[in-house]
Amino acid sequence: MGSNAAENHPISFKWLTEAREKRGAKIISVDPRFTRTSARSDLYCPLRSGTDIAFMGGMFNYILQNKLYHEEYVRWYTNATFIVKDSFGFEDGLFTGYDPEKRSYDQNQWAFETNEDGTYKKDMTMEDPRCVLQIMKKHYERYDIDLVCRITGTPKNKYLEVIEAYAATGAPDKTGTIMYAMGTTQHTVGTENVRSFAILQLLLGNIGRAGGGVNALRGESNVQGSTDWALLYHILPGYLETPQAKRDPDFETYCAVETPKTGYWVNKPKFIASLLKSWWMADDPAKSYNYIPKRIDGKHYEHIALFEAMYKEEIKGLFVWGSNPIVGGPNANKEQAALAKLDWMVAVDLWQTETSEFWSYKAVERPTDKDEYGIKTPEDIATEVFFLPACSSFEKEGTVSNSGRWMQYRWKSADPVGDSKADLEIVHKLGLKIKELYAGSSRVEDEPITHLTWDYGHGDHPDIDLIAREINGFTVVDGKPGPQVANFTKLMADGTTACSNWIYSGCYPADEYLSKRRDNVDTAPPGAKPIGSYLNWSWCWPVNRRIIYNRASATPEGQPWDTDRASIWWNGEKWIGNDIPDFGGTKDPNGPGGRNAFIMRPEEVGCIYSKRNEGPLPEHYEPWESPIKNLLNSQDLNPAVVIWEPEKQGQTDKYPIVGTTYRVSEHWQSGVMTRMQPWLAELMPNCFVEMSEELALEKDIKNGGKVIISTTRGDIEALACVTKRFKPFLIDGNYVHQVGVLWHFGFNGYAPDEPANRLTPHIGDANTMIPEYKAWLCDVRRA
Amino acid sequence: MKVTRRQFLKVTGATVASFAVIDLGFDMTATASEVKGVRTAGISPIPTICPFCGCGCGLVVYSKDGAPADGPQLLSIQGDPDNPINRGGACSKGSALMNLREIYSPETGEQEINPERKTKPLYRASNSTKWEEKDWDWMIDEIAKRVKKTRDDYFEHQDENGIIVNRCEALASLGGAALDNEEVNLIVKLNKALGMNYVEHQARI
Repeated sequence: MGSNAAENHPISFKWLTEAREKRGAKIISVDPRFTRTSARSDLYCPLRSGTDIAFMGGMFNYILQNKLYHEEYVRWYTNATFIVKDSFGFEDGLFTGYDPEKRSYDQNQWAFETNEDGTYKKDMTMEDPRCVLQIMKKHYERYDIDLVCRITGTPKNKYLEVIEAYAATGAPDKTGTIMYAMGTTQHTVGTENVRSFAILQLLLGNIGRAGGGVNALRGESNVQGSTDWALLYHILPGYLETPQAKRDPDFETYCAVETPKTGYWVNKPKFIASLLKSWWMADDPAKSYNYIPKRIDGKHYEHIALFEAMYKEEIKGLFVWGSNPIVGGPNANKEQAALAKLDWMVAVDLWQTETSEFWSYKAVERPTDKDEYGIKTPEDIATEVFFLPACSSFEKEGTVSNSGRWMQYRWKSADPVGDSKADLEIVHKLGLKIKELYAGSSRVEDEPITHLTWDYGHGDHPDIDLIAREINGFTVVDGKPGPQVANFTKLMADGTTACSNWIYSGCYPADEYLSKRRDNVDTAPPGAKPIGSYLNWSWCWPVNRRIIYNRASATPEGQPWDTDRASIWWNGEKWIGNDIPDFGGTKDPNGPGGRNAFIMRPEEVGCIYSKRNEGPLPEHYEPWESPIKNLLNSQDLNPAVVIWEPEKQGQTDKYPIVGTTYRVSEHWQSGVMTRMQPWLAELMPNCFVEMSEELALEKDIKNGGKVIISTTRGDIEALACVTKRFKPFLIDGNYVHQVGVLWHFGFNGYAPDEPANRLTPHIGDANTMIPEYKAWLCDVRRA
Repeated sequence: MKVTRRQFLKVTGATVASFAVIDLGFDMTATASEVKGVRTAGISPIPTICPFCGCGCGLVVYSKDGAPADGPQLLSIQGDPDNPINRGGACSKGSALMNLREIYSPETGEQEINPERKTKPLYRASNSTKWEEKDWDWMIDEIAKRVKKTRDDYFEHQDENGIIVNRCEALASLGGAALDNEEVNLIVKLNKALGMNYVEHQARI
């Protein structure tokens, strides 16, 4: 659901078909369109884009009413037993504490009841009407099967088939897994879509177990690692919060405010101190803390906000490291117009991307005269552009982390083409040059640069081994790197250790960078079956643990729920098994905290009920641009999203068709890597818009003919792909059409065509502000 | 440039032989002996990880020993049979990976560097309609000067409440999700030392 794995993560899908062949697994595909994944599934179930929470809410309701959940798991490993304060309430789409002016909630009103010693009040029978399970039961009573199907357009029989098949994994000896991708996240309710998967998996006891989990299928080879390294405004490496000026004015306050009182994150001061020490080794962390930029409290810095700020000329200089926002970013016309307002831009890539050539004549051409954002021609664009040629992944060496957090090494196997260089060398040269320019400065505001530790060997190419040791962490001896630490349990808060990313600490504990390991024997303790951990292949964060929360794979008493899929178990003295325990290795399951399976949470249990910006439980809201009113409550749009361009909201009178975007196997993301390759370009040479035979008939559109797709943001031209894979949805008694457009294309390469993201809006999720690429309104006509 | 069907068939025809041998994990000598002129015979494959999606499939690269750095070097790239993630499999993108560096010329059929690859740093001046080739030293010098000027012009050491904030809201960084961990380790460090809050990448979109 929310993923077309057979198309976009083809090798992952091989494991599903293998599970079907070897174990009799059943594959369910829930998608607006009959995809390549659907074609290889046992059960296909359609839903209209943007109605996932309605779909999931109906599942919750059925599972709770029929008591199909994994009761012992829910009782011990989730917050279903917690008592919620009386101040919590919900009425007609709004939780208590809403401020319509600010479009935000006072989340304190949703807090749990606590005892005098600060522990949570619980009802282990889960019968108290104020306990999470009962509140949840009441919340989803409204999501009855018929109403859900009126919203989603799903045939009732198919919906029931899905619910029954999936709910069967609530049996203790069964597991089910959910694979999702951007079909789930790219919505104004993206976070709550993902949360609803987590809630379902907790209810059915499917988290922390082999064959279970909620699997984010990452779209890029190192989107996992680069997120771990915090190339995002809100975090520092290892998921430490970036400081905000008022909230975190100094180091002491940061540690006090950002460190929870319970759970493993109580160690946060050690991790931030060690990060600071790796960046500024000569300074005390309490001082170097102030070298990190502090955000303006509450200000938006997300991708959409960044381009809105650029459009308003607040941003002057931009680095683009292998990214192509005027094809991949939402509202691509506006993002292109914004780039023309920069003083300078540096683009680092293997090829000329549409973004690096946004100023060229090629970038100006459009199929119609519509120009909502004032796209300029080259002579009118003052932005200086610096293009730096990067080499490809196998022309350099280093590690990438996959969706399963495996950190695997790539050895160099060919020379860089021409004068192209590894990004590592490029950033190294830049770092050295910038430090050189500031070298004579004694200004206090230049200290973050003049004091910056940048010591990676001699010559232009940095010594990757020194970087790997910095990642693992070491003891600081006389202001210099000393011996490496074993792992993050050895890091200190007093400035005696340095580590540039605590979750990776342990990847290089002594003489070997463990990411290079290539022993592919899947071992298991005597008498147990291996579960695919491959503990000696590469390395996995944290501390080589392959399945996180694996304490939940065992019963409260410490024995496997299912011996066929045993992960770790208690042998009377310690935890042993097929994986590194996500738990104190000698913690008795019957002792204090011995059943707290989710150690990264302050509550140390999985969160069915969890404070998000739009509420503690997912509620269905329609996309920003929707063909119907919300049938479940009178809030059409998620009440907590930021509305950037109210005047750009398309209405059904002009734009009656639901639009979505997606990818094909032969291309990758904004297409820059694959449109530049002749074999792949020939396999998929054009942008197409896929539509039903019914819509094509209505619009007199022929398969293969040229059509114009238009929204309030712009128009594009594409070829019509008329198929049976889309069917009109019966939504609350009326038929609604949906179309899908490939978003891989731009004006460069062997297969140039138009970018679908000229159509998509600048609006995003209420927590992450990921854009709503997957559900918007459009019209199509013959070109 | 358009790629024709005929050219495509010629290209794939040329690689069939190289896909017939995998000498990592399987004994394929019997098959190899039957295929004349196997290009990868006697060459040690070098493991890599696919640069596309997040599955993390292993691939192996066969490259010619001692081939000049500025010309074709690749013999074959194929699934790594030892990698437990893909066990030798590869999707359409992984199978075509050698095109990132080298293609078969549509005109001559000879193997050559992919002409779309950029081999020199390029500069586009204000209001210009074209690129100019520059050397690395010039580029790094000029970029560093722009960074310093923008930072110095817009840097905030303290905010209106006297809190030390050390930020520069006029500088921004995008991308990096396809880069190596060691690379992003340095990029995030440099970005933060410069005072950037506007640091975003593909995970947000």
